[in-house]
Amino acid sequence: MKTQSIFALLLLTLVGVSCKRADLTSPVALFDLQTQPRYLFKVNLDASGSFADKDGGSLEYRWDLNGDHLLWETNWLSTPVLTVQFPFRSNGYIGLQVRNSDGIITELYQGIYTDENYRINKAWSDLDIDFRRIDYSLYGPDYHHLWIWAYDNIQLPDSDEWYNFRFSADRATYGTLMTWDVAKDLDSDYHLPSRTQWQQMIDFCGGEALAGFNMQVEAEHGLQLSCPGLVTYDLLEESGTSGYYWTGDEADEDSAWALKISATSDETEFVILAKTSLASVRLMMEYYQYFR
Amino acid sequence: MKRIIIAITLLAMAGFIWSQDSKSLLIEGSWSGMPQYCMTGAGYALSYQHSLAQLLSLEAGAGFIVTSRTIERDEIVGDVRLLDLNYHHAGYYLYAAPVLKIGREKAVSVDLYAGPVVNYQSSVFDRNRYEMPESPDFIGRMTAIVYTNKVIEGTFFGGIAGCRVNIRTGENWKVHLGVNTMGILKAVSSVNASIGVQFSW
Repeated sequence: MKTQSIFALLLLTLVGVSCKRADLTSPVALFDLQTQPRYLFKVNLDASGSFADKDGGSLEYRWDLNGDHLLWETNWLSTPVLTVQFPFRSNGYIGLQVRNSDGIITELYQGIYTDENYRINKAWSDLDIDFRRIDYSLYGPDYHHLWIWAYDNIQLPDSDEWYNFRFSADRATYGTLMTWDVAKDLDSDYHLPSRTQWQQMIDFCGGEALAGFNMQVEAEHGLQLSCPGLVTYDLLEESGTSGYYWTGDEADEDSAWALKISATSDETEFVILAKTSLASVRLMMEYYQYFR
Repeated sequence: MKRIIIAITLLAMAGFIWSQDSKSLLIEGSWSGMPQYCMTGAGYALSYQHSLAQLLSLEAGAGFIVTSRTIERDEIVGDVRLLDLNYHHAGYYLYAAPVLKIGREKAVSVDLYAGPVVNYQSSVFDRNRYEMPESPDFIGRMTAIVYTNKVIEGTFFGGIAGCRVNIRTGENWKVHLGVNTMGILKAVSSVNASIGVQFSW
């Protein structure tokens, strides 16, 4: 009895030891931001570099967007890219968990840094109504780029040549809508941004897919573009829903390119308008200083 | 919270059994192996036996096991260098079992026991190390090596079966060598070899 029982137990032990080994694999969590994050700007958190294991497999994703290690701000998501407004004024942590089909979770926290280097000043210009300017200091490997943009939509005194909103609050928000011919010669130093320069601003603000939002968002370091609409054939349209900003680039003799933003879209696009249309204006100038 | 509930239950059971006659207290340390994940480690257990008959006792006990295993990987998948995986397990268990006593009054005796187990344990996996590709300037990493994995915890049920060889060393004292297996449903099972002492009164 005694010997039999002991042998039975040892046999059970051997069966346990020889059972198929389960070498679990753990998913790899990676995430990246496609553009430089800025406070309140929308960014794409991209975890598409994560993988379940070397042979593939599905993953789910959830995010700790404020880095508090307490609550997950999202549920488990099946898509790896999440668009959020960057929550940190300076630096902060964002966490990601990825879960494979076995329920095994890998967690990654990364510190995210912003680098805001700007000043807001009064712009000294030839215009009768002052505007503010925002100076971005950007540094490359061997240069300093001082990038100066009007911080307000340009306002002009009342005239039949352009369109001014009736109420002063609207004027302050929307500025004056004017023809391209008026806009291109407003000041001797500040000029209309070219399409290329607007594109640089779009890239600065997260690319075409997000710049429409980021150029409107009420963040001090952003342009805070408004949506005054467009006047064509003496009729104001799309006021409050769209903004059209002249570029310095002509499309042909009678038309020019403008940047279009929309209050209901994160995207931007360039459109061609008749030069006689009345659209909004932001001016800019820039300097490069090269280090030797 | 679960740990507190298990501890209170253990104390209540111990108190009840303590009030009976013919008692033995056992304490043992163990080597533990978890074959499913090839983890090894150590544990300890404290148990109490109450004699019901010449050949039969009732035993209740509790213990703790911690095991681990590191798998070196050193392979590159995409832009990621996989370094190693660390399996880790820690579990508290509580069991009750009838014990068949063979040769109780002899210098060398054998206990055979089997019964249910309640196990509160973390699951395997608590760290996965890998080197990530270069990050842009605005992403800060304290190290290029990532530590990961959320440990999954839970209470699981199963069974225990084992035997002890007891060697009498004094009127009330015995030293024992034992082996047991714990099968835990939906969690990590183990094989344990132990050495311990018991005091009877």
